[in-house]
Amino acid sequence: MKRYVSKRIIQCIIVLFGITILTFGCMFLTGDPTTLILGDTKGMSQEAIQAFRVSRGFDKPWLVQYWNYISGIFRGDFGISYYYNRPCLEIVKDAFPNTVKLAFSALALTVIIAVPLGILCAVKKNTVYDKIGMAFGLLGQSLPIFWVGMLLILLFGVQLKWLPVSGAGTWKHLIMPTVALALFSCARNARIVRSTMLDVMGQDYIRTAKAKGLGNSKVVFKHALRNALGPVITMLGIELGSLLGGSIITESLFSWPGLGKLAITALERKDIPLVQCCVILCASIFVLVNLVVDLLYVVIDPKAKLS
Amino acid sequence: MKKINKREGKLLTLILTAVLMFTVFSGCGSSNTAASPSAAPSEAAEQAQTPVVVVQGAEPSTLDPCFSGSTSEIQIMEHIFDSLTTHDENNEIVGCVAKSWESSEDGLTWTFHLRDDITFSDGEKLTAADCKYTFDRTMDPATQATGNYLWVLDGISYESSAVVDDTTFTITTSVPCPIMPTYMADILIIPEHYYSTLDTTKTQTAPLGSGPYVLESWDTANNVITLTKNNDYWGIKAGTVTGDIETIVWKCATEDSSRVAEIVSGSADIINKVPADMADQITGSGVATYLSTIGSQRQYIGINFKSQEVFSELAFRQALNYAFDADTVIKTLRGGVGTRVATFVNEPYADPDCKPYEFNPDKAKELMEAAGIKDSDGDGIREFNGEPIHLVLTACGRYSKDVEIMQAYAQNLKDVGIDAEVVQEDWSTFVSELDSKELKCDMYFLGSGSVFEVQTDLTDFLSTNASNYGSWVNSDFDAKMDELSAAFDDSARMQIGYELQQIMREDCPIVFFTMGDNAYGISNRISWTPAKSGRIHLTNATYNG
Repeated sequence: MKRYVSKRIIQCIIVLFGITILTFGCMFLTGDPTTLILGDTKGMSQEAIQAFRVSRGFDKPWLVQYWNYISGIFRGDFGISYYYNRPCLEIVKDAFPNTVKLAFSALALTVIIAVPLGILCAVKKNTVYDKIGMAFGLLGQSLPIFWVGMLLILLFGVQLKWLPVSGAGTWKHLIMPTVALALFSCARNARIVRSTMLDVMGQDYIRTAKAKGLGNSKVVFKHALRNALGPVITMLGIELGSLLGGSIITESLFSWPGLGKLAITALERKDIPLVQCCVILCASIFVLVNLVVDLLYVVIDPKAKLS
Repeated sequence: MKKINKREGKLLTLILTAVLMFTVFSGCGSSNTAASPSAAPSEAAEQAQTPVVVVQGAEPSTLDPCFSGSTSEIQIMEHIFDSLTTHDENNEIVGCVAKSWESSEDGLTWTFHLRDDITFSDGEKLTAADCKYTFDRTMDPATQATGNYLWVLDGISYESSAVVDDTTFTITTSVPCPIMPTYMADILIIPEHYYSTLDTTKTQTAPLGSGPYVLESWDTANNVITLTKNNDYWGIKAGTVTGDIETIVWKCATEDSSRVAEIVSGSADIINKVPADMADQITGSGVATYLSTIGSQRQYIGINFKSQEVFSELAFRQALNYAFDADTVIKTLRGGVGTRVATFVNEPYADPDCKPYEFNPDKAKELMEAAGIKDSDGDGIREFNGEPIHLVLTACGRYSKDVEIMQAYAQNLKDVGIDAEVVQEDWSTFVSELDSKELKCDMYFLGSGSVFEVQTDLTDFLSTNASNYGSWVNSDFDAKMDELSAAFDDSARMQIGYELQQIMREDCPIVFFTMGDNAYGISNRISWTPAKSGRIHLTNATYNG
C-alpha cells in the first residue's frame, strides 16, 4: 500500500514538473516573450520596452528564467498579470473560491440525484421508473448546457423573477449555474450507476445473498452498491477535477466570475503570466483530485488493494 | 412493479415530450406580467433610492488611468477623476480642471489655467503639480504605463510639462499640436500625494480622484464596482453635474443574452452593446427601452494593398465600393441603424459634399471592363494579368454582425465577377497581424474609434502611421496631412479636412461603410441621454418620479 501511494505521488510530481516546462515553453513559442506579452507596443519607447523586459527577467538566459519561474512558483509568486497589473495569484485567489463553490454544489447535486436514480433504474429495470430515469439521462446528455442555462434564465430570472440572472455574491446566484452544470453530470452518472449496478446485480454473490434470504435493501445497498461504486467514484473524481478547473460555458453564460471565465479572458487578452497561473493551478488540482480518487479506490475496492 | 407494455411506453413518451415542450415554451414566451411599473407610490419611492445598476459587455481590469485602454474602464474612471478638458452634451470641448488655455506663437507650448476650487476626495487640493505628476508618472519607465495615455502622449508628440504656479501648467511638444485641448479630455488627473506613495500593483483597484463620484468598493471576486456620489464635488455648485443618482453599481456580463436578461428582469438599469435583433425583447418587456444612436466608430472594409497587385488599380478599388450593397446590409443586419458614408471623419469635421458611393453593380462592372479586368475565359470570374481574381475576406465577430456583413459583401463581389470567400479569424490573432501589417487576408472588416477631431480621425491613413494597416500610400494625402497638423485656425483646419476627405473618397483606400452604432437598454425608472462618444456617463442621469 505504502509503495503504491509513494509511486502515485512520484508520478504526480513528474506530471506537474512536465506541466511547468510546457507552460514555461509556451512563452518562447513566438520568440521574444516581451513582444508576446506586450502585443501592441505602439506608442511605447524602446526604453519602456527594455524596462519591461528587464523587470520581467526576460533579458536573462532561459535556464535562469526557468529557475526563477519554478522557484517563484514555490514561493507562491506566479508573476504579475499584464492586463490587471496585479499579482496573478491574487487574481486567481479571487476567482477560485467561486469555482470551488460552483464545483462542489454541482457535484453534490449530481451525487444526490444520480446515485439514487441509477440504483432505482437498475433495481426497477424495464419498469416505468427505469424508463423515466433513462429518458432523463438521455435528455440531460442531449441538451447543451448553454441551452439549458438560457431556459433557466428565461424561466426563473426573467419570467418568474425568482433568481438573479447573472453574477455572484449570494446563494441565490449559485442555483441556476449549479443546476445547468449538474444536469449533464447527473445524466451521465445516473447511467453509469445503473449499468454498473446491473452488472453487479447479475453476479453470483448477489444471487447467493438473495438465496440466503437477505432483505432486498441489504442486498442492494450492502452488497451491490459497494461493489458498483468503484467506477462511479472514478467518474466523479474526474468530474470534480474538471469542475474545479472552471467551466467556461456556464461561467460565461451566468457571468459567474470563476476560474474558467478568468482563464479564457486571460487567453483572449494574451495575458500569458495569468494563463500560466491558471493552467498550473487547474492541472495541479486535476492531478491531486485524481490521486485522491486512486487512493480512495484502493480503500473502497479490496481487489484494487491486492493488485 | 409490473413491466410496462407498448401502450404505456407510448403514453409515457407523450407525457415526457409534453413536459419538455411546456418547459421550452414557458421559457421562450414573453410575459406581460413583467411590465408592471404600477408599483404602489411608497414602493416607487423606495425603488428610486436603490442604486443604478450598469451591466457592461466587458470587464474592467483596472481603475488606474495610467494603465487603462478599454472603454469599460475609462467610463468608470471618468466618474472618479477629472480631466483638464472635457466634452459637453454637444460634444464640444469645454474646460473641466482647466478654465482656459492658450498656445504659444510657435505652437509648441500650451498653457492651461486651472480652477482653484477643486479638491480630491480625501480633501487635498488639486494643483498644477498634480497635473505634471500625471504626465511624469506615465513617462517614467518604472511605471510601465500601458493603454490610452501612451496613445495620447504619442499623438501630441509630448516633450515635457512644467508647473508655473499652483493654477498654471504648461505642456511642451516637439511639433506643433493644434488639437491639444481635444487630447486633454482623455488625460485624467491623479493626485501626486497619493499615487507617489503606492506601488502600481496597489493602485489598480484603489483609485482616488477629484471627480463627481468616489469608489465605495470593488468586489474583485464578484466583479462588482460601487461608486457613491461625491457631494462636495465642485461641478455640483458650478452646475456641470445635475443628476440625482447617489450610487452606481457597475457589473459585467460578456454574453449579449445575459445582459438583455438582466435588463428585462429588472436587475439592471443600463446595459450596452445590445444587438439589434434583441431590441424587441427589451421594448416588449415594458420595463425598459432600447435606444440606438449613431456612434463615432468608423467601420469599414479595409484593403490589404500588399496582398494583390490588382488593388493598385484605382478603377478596381472604386468598383469594390460600387459593388457593395451597404444600404441593404444596414437595413437587414443592423436593424436600419446607420447610414452609408464615404468619409472617415466624424462631425463636425465631416465633409457634407463627400457623398457615399451608390450601390451600382453595373457601374462596377463597367469600371473593371474599362481597366481591362475582364472575364476572358467565360468562367464568371474576372482575371487580372491572366490570373482569376480571388479575394479572402476576414471578419472576427468583434463588431455587430461583421461576419454576416462580409458574407453579404462576398456575394456582392461574386455578382460582379470577383470570386471571394470569408474566413473568420480570432481577434487576438488578427490584432497581431494588424500590428505587424502582415495580414493574411485581402480585405478585412474593422472599426476605428474617434475623438471627434479631423486630424486624429485621418491619421490612420498617413503612410507612415502604425495604424495604416492596409499600407495605402498617397503622397498628396500625406502632404495635406502635414499642412493640417501645422494649421491652428479652425476654419482652415476644416477646409484642409474637407480636401483630405475628397482625396480619400476618390482614391478609395478602403470600402467605405458606416459609423458604428451604440445600442443600449435603459430601464424606465431612469432618464439618461447617452454621450456621443458611446461612453456611459451618469452625472446628469435622474430617477423618474
